[in-house]
Amino acid sequence: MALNVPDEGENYALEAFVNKTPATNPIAKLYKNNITPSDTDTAATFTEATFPGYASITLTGASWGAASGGVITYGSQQTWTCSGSATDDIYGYYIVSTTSNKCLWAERDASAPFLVRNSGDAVKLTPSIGAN
Amino acid sequence: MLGLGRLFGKAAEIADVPRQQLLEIVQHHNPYAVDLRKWCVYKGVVGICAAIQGNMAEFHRTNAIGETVEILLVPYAELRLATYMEIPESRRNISAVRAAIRGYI
Repeated sequence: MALNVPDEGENYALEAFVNKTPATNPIAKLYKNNITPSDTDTAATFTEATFPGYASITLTGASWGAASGGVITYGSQQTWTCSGSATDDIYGYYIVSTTSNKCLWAERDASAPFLVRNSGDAVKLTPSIGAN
Repeated sequence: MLGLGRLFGKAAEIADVPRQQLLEIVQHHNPYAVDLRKWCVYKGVVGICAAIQGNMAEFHRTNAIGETVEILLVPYAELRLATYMEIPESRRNISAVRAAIRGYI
């Protein structure tokens, strides 16, 4: 599924690009409403997952690999593991900025939804974004 | 900037292009082209163009609150950009002016 950078994410990137607003560590979150990301979205469009054991994950700047070929990828796969019974249907993930809570980008999983029901159910993600 | 017509002392000539044809031309060429993550209309229903594969597009039909209710593979040429008011209210999030810049006119 195509990755989506909404309008507010584009503005955030532009301001970071020229150092008007210094970049901060992005935060990865899972969403559980049946949304296909669009260019008009904001962070408020998405309903964050709430299953037991879930917490958003801060992606630290130093952990990203070097950008190459217009793509930059996080150094390790991130895993959200459920620690109890749940009813979340996970449709994808979205990335927000630490301080301003702007949606930087979002992606719906091509095989969504992923049903999180039992302890041990896990959602895995290796964050990556391209500029081509 | 002066147009050629005005420069040579006569009214500029503009080809008479039907509105529908003009809209189709505009909406399939940048910056108003139907593209990934854009709100579109296919046969009267609103959704999002989620993928383009050759001449076909993956169209995610949405309901009144902007949730995806059906995924269809449709001819890309039959999609048109949605107007601002056709985008579900909860998913607009941008002003009508900014939406117009993005082609939602």
